[in-house]
Amino acid sequence: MKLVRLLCCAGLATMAALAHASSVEGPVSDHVGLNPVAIGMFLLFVLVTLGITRWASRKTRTTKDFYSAGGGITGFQNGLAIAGDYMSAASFLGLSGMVFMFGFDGLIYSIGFLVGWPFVMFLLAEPLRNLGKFTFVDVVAYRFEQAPIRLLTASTSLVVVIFYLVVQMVGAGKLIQLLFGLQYWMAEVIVGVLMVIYVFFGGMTATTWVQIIKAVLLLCGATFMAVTALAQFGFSPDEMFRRAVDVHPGALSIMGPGNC
Amino acid sequence: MQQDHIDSIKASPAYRRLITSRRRFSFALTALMTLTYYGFILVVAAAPQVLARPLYAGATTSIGIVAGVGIILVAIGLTGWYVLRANRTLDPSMSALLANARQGD
Repeated sequence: MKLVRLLCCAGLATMAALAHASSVEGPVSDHVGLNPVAIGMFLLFVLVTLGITRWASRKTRTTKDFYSAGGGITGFQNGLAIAGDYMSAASFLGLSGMVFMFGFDGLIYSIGFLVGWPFVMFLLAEPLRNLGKFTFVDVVAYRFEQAPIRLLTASTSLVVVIFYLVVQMVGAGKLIQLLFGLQYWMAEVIVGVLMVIYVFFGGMTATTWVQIIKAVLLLCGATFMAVTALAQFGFSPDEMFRRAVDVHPGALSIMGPGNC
Repeated sequence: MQQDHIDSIKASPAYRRLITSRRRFSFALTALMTLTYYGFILVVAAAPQVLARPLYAGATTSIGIVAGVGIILVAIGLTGWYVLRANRTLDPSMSALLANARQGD
């Protein structure tokens, strides 16, 4: 049942993203120059992660294996995987784009993004662990009558997931469109098929490991980029801000909230 | 575990002390985080020009940037505090309580 739901939701998101494609397709740059290094890295990543999926699908025998990796994921691994989930297209492309366009306002948004986590940690994490449940829904359904709670939470998660997936798929599709010079709809289909393969065949083991790899790559890549970017300005953030203010049309207003 | 065991643990003063201190700790951290974040948002809403002010004369870096990075550090710090306390104090005392109750069979 859950599998069907997962698939339906992936399918729906693909459709929604496709329907939306005309408006997000955006101006395709004139030179859709293929970037061989980037394409090579992308293909390598896909190959490695597909290999992990194959390995995981061999290990996955029961429902418990599929949904919770048979309980064989340690706390640190799971933490990395959640970090990988969190550093998604939205934070990696969306937030940097927002800071690029609006300056300080993008920082406000990213703070709100981050501050949600400690609350989950302080208030929800321990009761969830003590009850031995996997999801918040399981806890709520344990305390209250099953059917209505399940219906309600299933609908809300689907709504949230659809919106979230659309954003993710637009981000991934844009990237592939840029890298390969493919048409937007083809990029979306590739991303959608890959996503479904990972989850469908690999279950939780594969998705967790793919997320761990993604988290480590993103953490290293983003740190490297931050250091090299700062190196351009002699490791002085103030110098970097000064140059940004010089070239940004918003001038000094990017250093404060709104347009004050 | 038997129901009477559960009841005896629940009635023990050590368990109650642990639960109270744990709850007080997580609520205190939640309150700290809420105050920090909503304090910042209120300043953004009510006095944005304060945040736009340069950090010191001649600097481009504004007070807001430093405040923003500070809140991120506070969030990381509070989470670290919680994890340290949970791993060093709360979880060990809880398992000690449980082990005691099992021995008392």
